[in-house]
Amino acid sequence: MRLTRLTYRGVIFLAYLVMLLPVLLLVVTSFFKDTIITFPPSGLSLEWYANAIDREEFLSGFIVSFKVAALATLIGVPLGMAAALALTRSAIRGKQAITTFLLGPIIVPGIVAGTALYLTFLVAQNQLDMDIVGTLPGLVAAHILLTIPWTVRVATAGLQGLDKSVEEAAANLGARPWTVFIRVTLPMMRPAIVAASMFSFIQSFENLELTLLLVGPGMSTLPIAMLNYLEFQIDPTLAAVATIQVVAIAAMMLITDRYVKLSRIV
Amino acid sequence: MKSLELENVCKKFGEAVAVTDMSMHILTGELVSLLGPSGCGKTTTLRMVAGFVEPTSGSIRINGRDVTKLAPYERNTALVFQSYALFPHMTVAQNVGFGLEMRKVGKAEREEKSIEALKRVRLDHLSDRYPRQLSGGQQQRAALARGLVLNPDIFLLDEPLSNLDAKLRGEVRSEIRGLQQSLELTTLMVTHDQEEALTMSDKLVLMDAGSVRQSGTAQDLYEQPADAFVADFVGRSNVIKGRIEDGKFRTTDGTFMPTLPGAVEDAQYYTLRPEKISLSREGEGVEGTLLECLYLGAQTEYTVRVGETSVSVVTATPGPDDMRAGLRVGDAVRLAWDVASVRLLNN
Repeated sequence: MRLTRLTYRGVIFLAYLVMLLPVLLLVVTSFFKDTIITFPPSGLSLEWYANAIDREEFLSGFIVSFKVAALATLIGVPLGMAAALALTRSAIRGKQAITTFLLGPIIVPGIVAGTALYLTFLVAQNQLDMDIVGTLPGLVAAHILLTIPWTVRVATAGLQGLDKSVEEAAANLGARPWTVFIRVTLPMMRPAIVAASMFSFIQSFENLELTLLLVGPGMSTLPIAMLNYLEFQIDPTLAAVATIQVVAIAAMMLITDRYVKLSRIV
Repeated sequence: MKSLELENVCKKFGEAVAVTDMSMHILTGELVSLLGPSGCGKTTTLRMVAGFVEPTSGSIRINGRDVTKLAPYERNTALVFQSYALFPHMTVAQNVGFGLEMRKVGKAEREEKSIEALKRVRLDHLSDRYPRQLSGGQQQRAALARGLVLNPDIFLLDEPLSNLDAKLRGEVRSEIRGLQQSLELTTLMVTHDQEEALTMSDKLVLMDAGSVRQSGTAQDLYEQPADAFVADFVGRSNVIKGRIEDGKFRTTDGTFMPTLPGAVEDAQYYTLRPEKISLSREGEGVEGTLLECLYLGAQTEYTVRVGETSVSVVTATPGPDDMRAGLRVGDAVRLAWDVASVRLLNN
């Protein structure tokens, strides 16, 4: 009995170690002085952080990624919420098929979806005689596809746990359907909305594969700027950039967890 | 004057019949219970009155006005849900004020009325709390106040005691009945618990499989059950199958049971309440063997085999000097009862 519990704990510890060790190493190496990462380091320094902030492509990449993620979240989350509402509440046919379809973007490999979007955008560009590839609207449109599956998943879980009699109680007390939605359904969905927004934002912000073919000159996202940097440099600047992201994302996760227990959704 | 009338109301869900030909009438200040086993259509009936389910046919009138086709928010009913259904993101005071807000009542008046309603249920000191910070009993009182404050035409209670523990149940039962009587609330209550229905209602409507089996006062249903189902559902009853032969009731295993002269010719069931039977070691009466003896404190419940029929007998627990005190399973006993308390039923 004691032994099984010990084994169990050991396995859990190992799993966490395997998952977190790369992140830990990333954070540690970002403070190493040497250009080429060596153990033990010859000294510690903050120069890579200074370099990360100094280099124009990281700052502009960050701004593009932030804009795209924010806009995609702002548009995708309400759409996903509406879909989840329809899927859980109305008597439409083929719910299972629609759900699978909406979860599609996270099932299809990103590079495949990216290629498909790239080709579609090219056809659309020719037909409409306007630029789409390499523009902010084009990127936002693509990233909305990333936000919808997460929103549908999180919101469906949230709505299924929602007691329908609470909404009926509001109707019984004299509230019209729209008032019920605004005053009761929406506030009760708030944890799901917060969680879906956080997930969507992070999904969009860190996406590489889907985005790869859709960026253009002066319209590169942070992950792509990092990939480009890696082609010519191997110094720990990237570790510094990544560490800043890890800290930011961890902070967002902790805030989200206050509103809705992440363990209930993922 | 407030009233609720249901006239030949039917509800089908696809092919499945939930309620058939339901008619009833509730007058001002009356509490009527819809009683029946689960799936009997009582909750569907309640939901039709509240407007969540539209009847397939028939009509529902509140205060004489036909509301059959009206949406829930167009009717002045107050439904207290089984789960209480309080708004989790609003305080108790905001919950209670919600209905008034929907009726465009000003803030000052709203607060005044909410506090008044909360005082009625002794919850005014918790008006700033959120529902999750209240106990089950307190949540229910908040839900009651939320309905009371609107002075509804019809008060609807869905299994009001089912989520409370046994000790609280008795307390809340008298509290609800007290409020209902002092405010003269015209109330329709749904319950599957016959004790709840018997103790709280002015009238009972006993339903089974979508239709009304019998309606009347608690005494009517208990003393004069219309059929074997009613006899067994309201209180407990020994229901013994058989038929009349030569003016006497003969059970399926051939035992003759005592009856009053002039028994109904087509009677098929011999029903007798367990507490109407007296049990003794010897003397007059029907012979039987003790099968089981359950000590329930104030009462003792015996199961006695008579022929091939099991008969339940409930008596006050015998004192130490009583001849019956030392009865053991397998002992021969005698059962006797007044034939006037027997009801012969034909369905």
